[in-house]
Amino acid sequence: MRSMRLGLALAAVGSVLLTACGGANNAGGATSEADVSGTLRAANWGGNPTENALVKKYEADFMTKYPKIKVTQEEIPTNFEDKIKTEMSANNEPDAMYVSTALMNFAAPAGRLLDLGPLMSKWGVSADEFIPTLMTPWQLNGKQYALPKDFGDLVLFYNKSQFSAAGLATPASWDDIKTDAKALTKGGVKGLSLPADAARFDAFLFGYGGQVLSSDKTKAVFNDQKAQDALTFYSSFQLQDKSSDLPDKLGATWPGDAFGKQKAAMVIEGGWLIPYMKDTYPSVSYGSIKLPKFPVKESSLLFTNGWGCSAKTKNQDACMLFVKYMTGKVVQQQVLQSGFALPSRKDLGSDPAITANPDVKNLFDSATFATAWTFGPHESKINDAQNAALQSVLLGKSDVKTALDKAVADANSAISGG
Amino acid sequence: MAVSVAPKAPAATAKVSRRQKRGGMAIAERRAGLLFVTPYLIYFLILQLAAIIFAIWVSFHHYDLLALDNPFVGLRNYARLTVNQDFLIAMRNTTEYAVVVVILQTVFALLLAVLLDSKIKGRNFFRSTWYTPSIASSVVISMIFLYVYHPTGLLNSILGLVGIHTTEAYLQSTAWALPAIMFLAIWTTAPTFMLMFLAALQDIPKEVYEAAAVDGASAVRKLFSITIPLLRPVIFLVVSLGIIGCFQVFDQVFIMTHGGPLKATLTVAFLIYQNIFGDTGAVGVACAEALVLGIVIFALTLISRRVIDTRIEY
Repeated sequence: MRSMRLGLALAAVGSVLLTACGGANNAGGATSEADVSGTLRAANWGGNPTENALVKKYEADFMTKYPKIKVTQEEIPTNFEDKIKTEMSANNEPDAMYVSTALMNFAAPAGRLLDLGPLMSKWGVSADEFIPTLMTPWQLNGKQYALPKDFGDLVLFYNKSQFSAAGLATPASWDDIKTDAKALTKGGVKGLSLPADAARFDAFLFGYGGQVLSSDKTKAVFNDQKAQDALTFYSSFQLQDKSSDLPDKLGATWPGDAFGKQKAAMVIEGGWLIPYMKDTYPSVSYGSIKLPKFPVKESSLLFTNGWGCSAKTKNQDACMLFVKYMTGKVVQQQVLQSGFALPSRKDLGSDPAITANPDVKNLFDSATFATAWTFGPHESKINDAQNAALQSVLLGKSDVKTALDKAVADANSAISGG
Repeated sequence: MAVSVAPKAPAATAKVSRRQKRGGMAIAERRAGLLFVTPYLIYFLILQLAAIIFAIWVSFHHYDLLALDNPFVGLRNYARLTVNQDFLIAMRNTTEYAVVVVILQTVFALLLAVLLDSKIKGRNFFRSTWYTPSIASSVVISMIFLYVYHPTGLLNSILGLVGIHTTEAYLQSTAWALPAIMFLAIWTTAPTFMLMFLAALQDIPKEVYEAAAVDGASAVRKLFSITIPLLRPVIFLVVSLGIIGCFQVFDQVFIMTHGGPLKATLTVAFLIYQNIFGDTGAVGVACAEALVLGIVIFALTLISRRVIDTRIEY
């Protein structure tokens, strides 16, 4: 009798606590945007001062639009994911944060990111507003853990004056690129600079029909015949034709640097090259083409970042409104004009900043067939293994098959050892 | 206890009461001593001892910073180290690095100290300029050396002046990257150890040298028969500090090469960092690596003590 009464009392207290918690999570159940209030800590990668200042400005604009929500910017200049991971393990992470694919890979499976799905429908955000290939990196088990804030992808940039000096037309196929690269190679200048970097090579890998991971993502498979063909082709420029070289052999730190110094007439890079060339090598005249179709399909790589929320945030509605604003049209139009990255929204595809600039248009259009460059929880070890294979082939230390077999073994040992 | 008992024992002999008094003071002193070390003791217990014990515990688990469930795996993390290619490569690189750096920096520091101890002109100027690299933080030095080692950087420019034209990218070369970091480490740390040798050199009695001079010993003979044997305790200190520092090398690798190219500069400390932050569920492996590294350092320090720090006989 007594124990039953005690049980009832406990149940009553429990239910009160539950309702209290539920209430807090919904910020008092606000149904209109103007009623949502709260304080948000918002973390962004602050390694680039200009980008950091823009984020600060967008956050100030947000607070003007939603005066009841206060946003504190937490800028993390370097090792962004390490810092967030440490904060998460101490249960002290910010409410809103940049979600890189690397962050997504460790935080979402551990349940540390908020599923934005229900909040998107509550606050009128539709997945259809975004380019579909940019939504998938943030999806796991049917849940949406972040919204893409912008993206970059790969196209082929070529040096117009070097092409016309050699009497060459704009290349249209990989055969053209191969012949042109040979014709452009003379003295200290190479036709092309392909780095030992999986973030470039994988465009070839996918274009040849290869994959990095098996479809259930439990095994590395980038050593099959397709992958071997892709790497044989990728390395043939440097090893057989001598028409390509690693950036550091050309006295440059990265391919874009070699392109700016006119030591390489072609490079495969992304939109970041455009402001870089404008600031550092304004006199170089260049153009771009989408990567030509590879033997199996058209291919390019997508690099994207999103905004997401911590699963532990006390102000879910405020955080969703913040994500909505930061990935919304107003902010992304400004991102586009700043030249940092391309907008992830379909409705900006017809923006004059895109349509009037053929290079930006090539980049934006490549998103339709590009693959997001992300490989799950063991991504960094997998990429280390891929890069090691590329390095040993391009440095002439190993043949294609041996290098890829070893890399796949290394990647698989990381996947199974974890 | 003894303090409160003492006044109630008036019949005690003078000898006993003196001893009690002395005992009382010792306790007070001990208490004061304890009070003085308390701040460090708290720091040590919480941030070091507790952390080490936690690391040992973690090393027996499949552990991830964000996972709720971290299952016990026994000795699996340790067993896998013997077949873990990364760990074996890192151990080899670190050992190679430690052997070269410890030997060269000790010899170099001793030579600098002996030079500065002799009565050369501008001694004070050399003392302060040679010591400068040790003042700057290793992070700053690493950033500066990124420019020195750049294909079109300072080193290649200087080589160009003497007729060697090269655009070698030292930090991107499997052959040069580790030696480049070794050179940087020697250049930075040798002056610190030079100071220790200098201080020890001042302590060697002048009479010993005078006696040797009377016997007609040459300068080289004096160096090998007097200076170096008498410096043994300091040489031991320098070598063991060198071993500890070298096996923990991290900052230079983190800033300059990230373990590349082709793992040529992958060190154990950097691998531990990579396993904790770059991978998922490998914190247990990282802790096992850290403990093995700790044991290796401890063992090597003991061995170097056996070999170097023998009793001095005048």
